[in-house]
Amino acid sequence: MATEKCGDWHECRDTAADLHRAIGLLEQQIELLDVQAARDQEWYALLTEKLLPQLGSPEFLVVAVTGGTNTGKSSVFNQLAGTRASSASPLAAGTRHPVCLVPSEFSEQARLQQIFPEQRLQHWQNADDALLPDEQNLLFWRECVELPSHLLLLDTPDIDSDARVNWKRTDSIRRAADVIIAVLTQQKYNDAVVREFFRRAAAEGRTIIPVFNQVLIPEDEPYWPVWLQTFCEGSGVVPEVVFLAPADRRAAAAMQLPFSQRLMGGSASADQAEEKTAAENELEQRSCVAGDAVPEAGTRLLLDYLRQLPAGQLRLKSLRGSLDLLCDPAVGIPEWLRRLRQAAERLQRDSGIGTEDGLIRVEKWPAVPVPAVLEVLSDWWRIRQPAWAQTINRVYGQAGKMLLQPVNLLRRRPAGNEQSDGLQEYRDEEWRIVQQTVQQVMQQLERLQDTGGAALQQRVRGMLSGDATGALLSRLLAEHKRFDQQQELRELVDRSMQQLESERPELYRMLRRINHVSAAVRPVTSAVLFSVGFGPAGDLLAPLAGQAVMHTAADVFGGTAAAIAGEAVVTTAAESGVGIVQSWFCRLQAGYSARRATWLAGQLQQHLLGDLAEEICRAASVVESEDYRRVAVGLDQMQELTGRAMSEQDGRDSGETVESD
Amino acid sequence: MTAGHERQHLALLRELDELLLQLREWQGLSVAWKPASSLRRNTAAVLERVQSLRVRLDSPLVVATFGGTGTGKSSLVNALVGEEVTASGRQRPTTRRPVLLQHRDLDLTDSGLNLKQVQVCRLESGLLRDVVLIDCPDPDTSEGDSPGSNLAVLREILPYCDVLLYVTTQQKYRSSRIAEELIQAASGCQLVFIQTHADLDSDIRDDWKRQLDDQFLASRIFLVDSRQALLDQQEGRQPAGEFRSLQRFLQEQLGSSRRLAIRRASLTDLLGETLAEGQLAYGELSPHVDRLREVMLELRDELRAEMSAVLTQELLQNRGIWERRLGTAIVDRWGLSPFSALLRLSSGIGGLLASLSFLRARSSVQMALVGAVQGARWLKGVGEQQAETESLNRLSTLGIPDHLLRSASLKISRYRADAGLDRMDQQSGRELDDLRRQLVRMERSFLGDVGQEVDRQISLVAERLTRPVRRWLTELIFLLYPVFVLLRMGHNFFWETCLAPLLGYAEAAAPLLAVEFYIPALFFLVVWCGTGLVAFSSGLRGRLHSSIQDLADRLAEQQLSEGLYPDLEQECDEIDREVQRLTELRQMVNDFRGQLARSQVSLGSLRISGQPDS
Repeated sequence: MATEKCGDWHECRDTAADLHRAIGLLEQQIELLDVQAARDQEWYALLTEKLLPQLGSPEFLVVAVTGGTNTGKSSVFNQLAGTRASSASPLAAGTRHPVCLVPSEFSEQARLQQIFPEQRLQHWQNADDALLPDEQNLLFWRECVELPSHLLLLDTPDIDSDARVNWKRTDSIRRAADVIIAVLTQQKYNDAVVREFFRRAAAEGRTIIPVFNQVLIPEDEPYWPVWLQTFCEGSGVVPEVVFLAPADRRAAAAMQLPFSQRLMGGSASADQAEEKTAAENELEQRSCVAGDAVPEAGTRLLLDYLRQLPAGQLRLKSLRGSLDLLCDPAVGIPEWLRRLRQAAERLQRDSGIGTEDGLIRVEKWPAVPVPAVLEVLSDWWRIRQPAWAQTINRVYGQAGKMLLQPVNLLRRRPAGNEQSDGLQEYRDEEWRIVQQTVQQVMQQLERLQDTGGAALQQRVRGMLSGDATGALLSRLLAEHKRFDQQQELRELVDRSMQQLESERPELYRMLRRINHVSAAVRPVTSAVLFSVGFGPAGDLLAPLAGQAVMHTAADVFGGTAAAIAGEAVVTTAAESGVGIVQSWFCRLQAGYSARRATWLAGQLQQHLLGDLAEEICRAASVVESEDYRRVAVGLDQMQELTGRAMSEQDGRDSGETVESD
Repeated sequence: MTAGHERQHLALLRELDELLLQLREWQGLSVAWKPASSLRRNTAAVLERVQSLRVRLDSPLVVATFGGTGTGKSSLVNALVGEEVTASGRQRPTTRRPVLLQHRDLDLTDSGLNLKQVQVCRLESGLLRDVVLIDCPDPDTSEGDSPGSNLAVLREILPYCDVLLYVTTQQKYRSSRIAEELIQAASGCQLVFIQTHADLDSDIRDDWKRQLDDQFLASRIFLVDSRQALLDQQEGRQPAGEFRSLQRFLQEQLGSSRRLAIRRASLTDLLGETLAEGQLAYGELSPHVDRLREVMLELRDELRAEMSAVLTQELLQNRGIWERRLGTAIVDRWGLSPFSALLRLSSGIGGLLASLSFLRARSSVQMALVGAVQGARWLKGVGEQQAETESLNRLSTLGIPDHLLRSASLKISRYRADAGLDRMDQQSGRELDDLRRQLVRMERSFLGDVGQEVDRQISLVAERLTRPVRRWLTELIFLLYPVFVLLRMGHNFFWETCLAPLLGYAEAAAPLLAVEFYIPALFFLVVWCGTGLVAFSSGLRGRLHSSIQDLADRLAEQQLSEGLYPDLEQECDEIDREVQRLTELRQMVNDFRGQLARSQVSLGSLRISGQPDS
């Protein structure tokens, strides 16, 4: 039976470990989501500080003495220890680090470290160790032979002082603990922070033993049941017993505080006491006797009570409490996953991710100017023409240029502007689009900054600063200037033509034939044109008609502009091909624009966004991720396992107390 | 009230009103800067409180207890008035409804306190002659300030308190919740620090003072045993020890003559604190504002350099127009002569061409060269056109490419956001349009300058070229050919055909020169004139070139007097003034506190950044 139980707990621990791993992986993806990180969540701390170290390990009982500043925690602790292990000071918030007393079994530090993974263990030197101001979370430990072999006894820093780090350290101990001795005073039993602390502890299934310290006996005798009631109502603690310690500084200093034990229901607990087990009854008898007559006996009362606690049962209770909290739909992992899902949806909405293009939206990239494409195209043809056609076309090209000279002069084409095929203007236009896109991305980021969580804001703020924007623009400008458009165009044309050749050989052949034929008929057409005085006029007409892709495309396949009027005949003859050529040409242009838009997106990615877009995307779609699913599945498993283990436990519980192995 | 006291009171009121007036005035100014507007909002709230202080400047001080539950607030109040009026107990919390203790004869209807909320006790007690005492609920048993909770009740009362008796014990003096609440409560209050439970606890005052020192000015801390003190008084004894000192201290410090001083201190602390916070926020963003200004200057320089380069190029490119204008100027100066007639003729044709090019003039530089008068007319025409079409693109012709402007406005808008200036309307085109408009303004003034400069240069060169010696020499050389032809013709006409045969020098009259002579003569005349013109204008060109270069260089160096973003620059200046104003206001508040040295008021208070220790 015991082994079966152990098996369950081991499985439970493995599941917890898997869950922990999966959460770790999931965490890396959600930095940008406006969700509290798992490591800031109570359930996560419980997982790492209670469940992982303690699930399935042999049974011992971690007992922590906690309370507000100057309520006498250290005095109570010292008295339990029977030695001055922790320094008690009249100044508040003196204890900065926990002190742990361990039975000889735990003398290996490694074993202790396993139980307290978040603390740096240091061997206890003297009682003032715990007062040491140190950034690290230390834990001082020493062996204590007086302690029962299954008890680990801890003194903790306060839970209510202005030194918040103390709260954190105590919270950490609280998670590891099974039994918590709540040192209360009449001043502090109803403080909000104290209440909150013990409410948490109670919710996590810790066994809480209230100890009212600094009680004026007998004046406070009628009050303490009221205190206890208020405390229990405020914190949800359901104690079995309560201890009182008198306001006696001398006794406290001498570690001779005479505790007295009271059962719930106060001094009028006699009739209830009858229902209690014999052992407890005996204990109470002793306390009454001890408290009244022999103060020395009272000093060991609390320790005796701890000694007889059913260790295994309380331990299971605390483990179960922690597991319940982990799986709690309102505060545990389910709630966290729900928040995660919401935040992911929000981010998806705000960032526009999920729409196709996400953060970078390049709109309306200008079409590359027709003449530029034509030039590249004709170059491409030229080197594939037979020699005779090349010669003719070259001659015509030269002649065309010469003929165009006066026209150009007349039109006052600015001299020295080499790229007269509109590439310079195109460049400017491109740059305008680049700027527009940057502006849009910036606005998008601004919106993210306004709506996103702290992590996202942090990331985006740097990108949006004026200096960063200036640097980005100058870098983009440099990249844009460096970019060789003609090279890009050549590559694209080359690829498209080859594609054309392989996919639509008949069209390719036709174009090729036109090219050759046009070279052959060129002298003829020009002779005709010149004879009717049409030569230069053709040149004049060419640029006018040049905007229409069809004509110019025809012109390209024919040669230079000089022959357009004549060669239109040839093209018209191949009329069926013209539509195809036109659409093919448009595709070529669109292909170029698409490549340029991709280029810009790449640049922005590289110089502005970095991994941000990708990270946002990952965070926004985290719900679909493998890690999210693994956490969800792990959680389900955990819930199932816990349920099973618990029900078995409950079945056994009714009969016997669990033995430790 | 003594006459001296009254005078002092009136003087204080006057000073205070003056200060408030200044503050209101300052608040009325609107500055489009985030920290400025948030500071104004904060100050509005504070001014309201100040106003309520101002109304009850001379009413009894409101003294309230403040401290954690169970620290003995009620016991202290009972001990202070010498009888058990407010329940002190062992259950936490004991006091839920505040108890207000006032003198029998006092009327509190004007005090602003919500008397319905508190339980009022009218007593006859020494201390209550000068103050109103309130026993407040604790701030540390409530987990939030939901209505009706102790914390909510406390927070409602605190703004009306002038002095807080901050009560603590050995257990609670480092309680975080109370410390946080005190920071909120202490602004505008004076504090008295008291450790109670002297009978049970150890003396922790030194440690407490150390903890307080960061944020509070605590000159003195009392350690009292309230229970004993109450017992003593009930049994007709004077309370002894520290409690007696506390009583004396309160009587001295909170007496009616101290009211003004304390309220003044509270008031100035309140204002000073708000302003100090504001100054901190200003200080954080000021560097960004400076950076914005710097960037504006950088951009201006950048655009200016670009502009100068384009100007120079255009000036050099449009040399033809220069030459024609120079020709006209020279002709005007030359007077009537053969060569000037030729020049006139050629410039007449040139003028025709110029008017053609005027029609085609595309840039303002060309316009400037054509002539300031015509240029202005042209520009006016374009301006009207622009008003019609709202398109500004056409006018930014100074050669500054649009993309530079875009980059500039993109950058500026980011720096603007950094500096915390209110964000511009989301319509992103506005800044760009502003920038263009500004450039057009600059261009207009530039056009005037360049036009004048061109006129000056031309008249200078013309002056030099039409010096008499040069003129005569030119005329002489030019006349050589016509004279030669005339001589040749005269020789033929008079001598060869007429006089020579008559006088017997020739056998027969030579024939008159025929068309064969006149055509070449005319031809060579044209060539001669042409050569002359070319020679003249090449000389002219040489001179012009150097002076154009000169002009271009000077233009390149010329400072653009106005910035590119006059509005934004104005805003930055406004921010500077605002920072300055705030400093002055703080100075004023500090001055107002002035003589009120620490020695005079030995109560504690919240520390305000930048306030010297006493």
